[in-house]
Parts: sequence; C-alpha cells; structure tokens
Amino acid sequence: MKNRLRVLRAEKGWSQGELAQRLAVSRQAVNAVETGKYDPGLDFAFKIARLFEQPIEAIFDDERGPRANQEDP
Amino acid sequence: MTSSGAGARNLTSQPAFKMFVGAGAAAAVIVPLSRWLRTQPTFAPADVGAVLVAALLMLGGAMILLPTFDPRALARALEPEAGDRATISGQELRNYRLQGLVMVLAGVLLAAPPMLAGQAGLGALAYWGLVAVFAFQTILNILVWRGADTFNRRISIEAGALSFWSLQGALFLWAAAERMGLAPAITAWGGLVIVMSVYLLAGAWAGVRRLGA
Repeated sequence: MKNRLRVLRAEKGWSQGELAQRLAVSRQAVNAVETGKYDPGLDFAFKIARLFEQPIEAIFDDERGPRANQEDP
Repeated sequence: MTSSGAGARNLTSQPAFKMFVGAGAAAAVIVPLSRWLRTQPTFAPADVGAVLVAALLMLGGAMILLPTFDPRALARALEPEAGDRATISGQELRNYRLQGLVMVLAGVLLAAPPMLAGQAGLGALAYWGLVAVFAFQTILNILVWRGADTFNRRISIEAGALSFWSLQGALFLWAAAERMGLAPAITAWGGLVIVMSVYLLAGAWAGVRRLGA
C-alpha cells in the first residue's frame, strides 16, 4: 500500500522520532510505514489521519482497491 | 560537521555496513569460542550448540543495550537524516534496554546448564538460581510486550508463527522417523537448543523483513 507519510512529515519539518512521539508509536513503526514495509492497522491509520488533519484515503492509497480498478481500461 | 564526517556518518548508517559490522562481531566471538568448546570433553553436540546460540544472544543483546548509554549518538544512528536534530525519548531508551537485557539473560539461561552441569556440589542450588533468573527474564519479557506498539508486536508474532510452523513440521517428521526406528531419540535439552536456534533465526528474519536491515 502506498502512502504519503514521508511527504507529510517533511512538510511539517518533523524527524521520524518526533513523529513517533506525537503518534505514541516506535520510530521503527514510522520508518516501516514510510518505506512500505508495514501497512498500519486501523487505530494507527486513524492516529496518522487525525494528526495531519486529513482523511485516511488522502494519506494511504490501496493500489489494489476500487480507485485502482477504476483506472484500469 | 565536515563533508568527510557526513560521508562517514552516511556510510555507518548503511544496512550493508551494519550487517558487516554485526557479522564481524559475531565471528570475533564465535571463532575463539568454537575453538574453546572443542577442548571441552564433557560437552555433547547439543551443549556446543547451546553455548554458541547463547553467545549470539548475548552479543545481540549487548549490541542493543550498550548504545543506549550514549542516547545522542544512538538517536543519530537511528535517524541519520535528522542529523543533530535527532532525538530519542525516554520510553524508546527503556524499550531498547529491556530488549537488550532480555536477550542477554536468554543467553545466560541457555549457556548455564552445560557450564554448571560439571560443577560438583552446585546441583540443586544452581538449578534454583536458574529458575530465579528465568522468572526475572519472564517479567522483563512481559514488560517488553506491554511496552511494544502494534508494529513491534507484529514482528514478535511473525517470528513466533514461523518458529511454530517450522518446528511443528520438523518435530512431526523426526518423531515419526524415531517411532519407526529410523532416527535416534533426541533429549529435551537437544530439543530446546533446536527451538532456541530456530526462534533466533525466525526473529532475525522477521526483523529484517519489516525493518529492512
């Protein structure tokens, strides 16, 4: 699953450690989400969405989801 | 910070460099230890395996534990791109220390039985000492689990699942062969050493997969 977490974090000027503290998760978790090695659960995804004040689907993009299918010819 | 300093920092933060240093440290412990183990006439193959796995556990634990005593350097190592802005929270330090201590104690528990078995007069006292260390390590393990977020719990669960599936299959095949008279019986101690070895490998696999070391 693609996400814009790294971009959003950079816009705020936060380090991974700072973001991890704001989300109350580990730095490894932030890094794994940013690099696409870990898809967060609902709780984690909602925390991220609330922190950046954006809907979840504006941050996470399920390439296998309906939107991707709509783009198929 | 000079450019050569930044270059050196970039190099030391590369996964390949970290793996190279880790492999070198492991070899520096394992090679002389293997030579010493060969000179121990009372050690069975399972004992040799136990001491080698214990050494890896203690080395891994020390590599997690020791950097926590220099939090600023650890923060920079964890997040090189943040440079001097990198920080590490007290909770993170606590979690690293607990994880490191749990691994070191696991190594102590695994190495102790073959080391103590030949010591006359220690017998039951040494065993109850092991029980006390095991109880302490179990408490620390619970604290690690309670302090972990969903991501770190996921790694533990994946390592546990991989260990269970592989060991269950291997145990079935070995037990069937043993029952049919095609393989020798294994001792409880031999079985435990296999379990710990597989769990160590499974934990490394799960960590590398999710953390991308």
